[in-house]
Amino acid sequence: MTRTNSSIGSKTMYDPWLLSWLNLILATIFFGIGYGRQEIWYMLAIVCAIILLWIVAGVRNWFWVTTVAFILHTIVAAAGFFLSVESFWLILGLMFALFAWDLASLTQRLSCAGHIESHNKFFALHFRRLVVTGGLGVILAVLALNFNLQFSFGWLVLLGLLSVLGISYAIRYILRMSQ
Amino acid sequence: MIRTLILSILIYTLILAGLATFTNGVIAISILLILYLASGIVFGPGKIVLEIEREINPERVSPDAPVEIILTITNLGSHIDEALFVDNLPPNLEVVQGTTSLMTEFGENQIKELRYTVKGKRGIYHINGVNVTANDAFAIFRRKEFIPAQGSIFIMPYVPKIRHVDIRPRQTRVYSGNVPARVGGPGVEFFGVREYHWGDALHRINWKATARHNHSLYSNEYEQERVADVGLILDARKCCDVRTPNGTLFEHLITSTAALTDTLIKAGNRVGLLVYGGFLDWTFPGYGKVQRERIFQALTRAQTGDSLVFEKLENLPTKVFPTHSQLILFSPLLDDDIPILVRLRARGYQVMIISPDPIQFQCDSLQDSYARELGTRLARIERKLLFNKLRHAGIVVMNWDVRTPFDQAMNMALRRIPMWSQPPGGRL
Repeated sequence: MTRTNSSIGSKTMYDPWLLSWLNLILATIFFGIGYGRQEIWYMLAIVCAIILLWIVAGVRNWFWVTTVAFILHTIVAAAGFFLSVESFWLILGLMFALFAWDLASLTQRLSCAGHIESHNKFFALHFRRLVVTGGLGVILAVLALNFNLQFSFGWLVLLGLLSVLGISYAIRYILRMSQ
Repeated sequence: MIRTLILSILIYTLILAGLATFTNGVIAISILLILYLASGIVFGPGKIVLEIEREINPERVSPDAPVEIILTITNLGSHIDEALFVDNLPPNLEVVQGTTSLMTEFGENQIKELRYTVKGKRGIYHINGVNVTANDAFAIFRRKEFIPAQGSIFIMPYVPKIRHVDIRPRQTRVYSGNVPARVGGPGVEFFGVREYHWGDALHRINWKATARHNHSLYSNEYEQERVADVGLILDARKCCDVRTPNGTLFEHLITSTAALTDTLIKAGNRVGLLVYGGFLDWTFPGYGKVQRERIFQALTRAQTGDSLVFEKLENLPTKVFPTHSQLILFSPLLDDDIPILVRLRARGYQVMIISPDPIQFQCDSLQDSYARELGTRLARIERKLLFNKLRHAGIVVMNWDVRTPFDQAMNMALRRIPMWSQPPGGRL
């Protein structure tokens, strides 16, 4: 990432780029534990390879590489469910991967700004919201995995369609309102 | 936008994959992404309603002087998690202190201030407004808006001080000034001897002339000094300009024009300016401080330009200048310019040329070599011949080596020389 901005880095308490690296390492550790316990070493190698992508992103200032890394992390998490990896590690791994992606994006946005007013406060607010969203997401995901509700096939299809339509509406709304 | 699309694709893929394979875990992890996306809708910015006031201090400066710009931004809309303000500065202004962009969290009715200092070269710089980008904390939902906040910075040309410019047009105006009017009357310089008129002061009587004639007295007459019409012509043709890494010759032309404008207007003359280049920029002749300001503004916005019509001086609209007035041309001069200048002289205009030396200017940026030496010598001979032709036509030419400050060069070259010390055949 571009880290030429004087407001980012040693002068401030929080460095989003360093924190995104920290989250990436945590994501790698949790995915590693999950796949390691099942002894699926090739997936472990893929997870480690994603770190290389981040190194490339940092060295060449290629922001889009972090997005590719996040997509790969999501695929790794989803694949884990098909490979009977314990869901807890996958959910935590994905949460930290999301944090890392978000913070990398924040770093990029901050680098566009010449001056950041109350940098520490600004970053603390962002990080707090990220933790709350991520934490809530993990709780809901774990709850969803542990609650077993029996639906008939018809209901299942209906709920599936409703969720797809609901999300489509939300996304359309965001795209329409964003300029 | 890309982030939203990527998240959307991932969510769809996870849900569809989960439904297709009856794997609840895949659907469960999509919840994490859905919540992240939903926060964009919940905390996304509303309509951007901002009021921006721009303060520029000072608005008129000399080149490379610092100008402070203060933007006061008031949020009249809803809370914005992440607001980025980028002031649209013209490219030629250089930021010397502070930055032109600000990122902040922006609450309702809050006021933020963006302060920075710029400097620049001569010119009029218009600043139109501020680009505002507002998004939620995760940059899912983004709005962009351009908020007008106009302002202008006038970076005036540098004006060297010149004590006096000696001009002698054939015709002057009625008001008293300091241009010799070629008419006898009250003045300082000796003009001639005439027969005594009743009322002449005793100290004006020329006793030597009186002694040579019986029965009549003779008085000394002095030359009246009045204000004059002066037309300044700034040559802004691109073909005349010389550009080097050290700058452009045109900037020296501007400096010399500004200096003479200042001196001539302060002396009470009626001065007009014609910028002859890509188009004609004509400042109608006038007196006083307002006229000085008008001409300085014209000089501030003056740029070199290309035009097939104005490629040569022959399309110079001479009728805009009063007949028999003083014309001062600021130009490095080309060979083709001689006929029109001689023609102007023949029509009765008193023509003076201030010509910054393009040969020396270009030489300074070239490396020492035999070819440069030879080329310079040839160019100098050509230029000398050009000047001789002009001087033979009665045109006053000042060759200005731009390494010498204009005020020094001018004070040396165009100072008023007493008649008794002038060489036969004129000066310069």
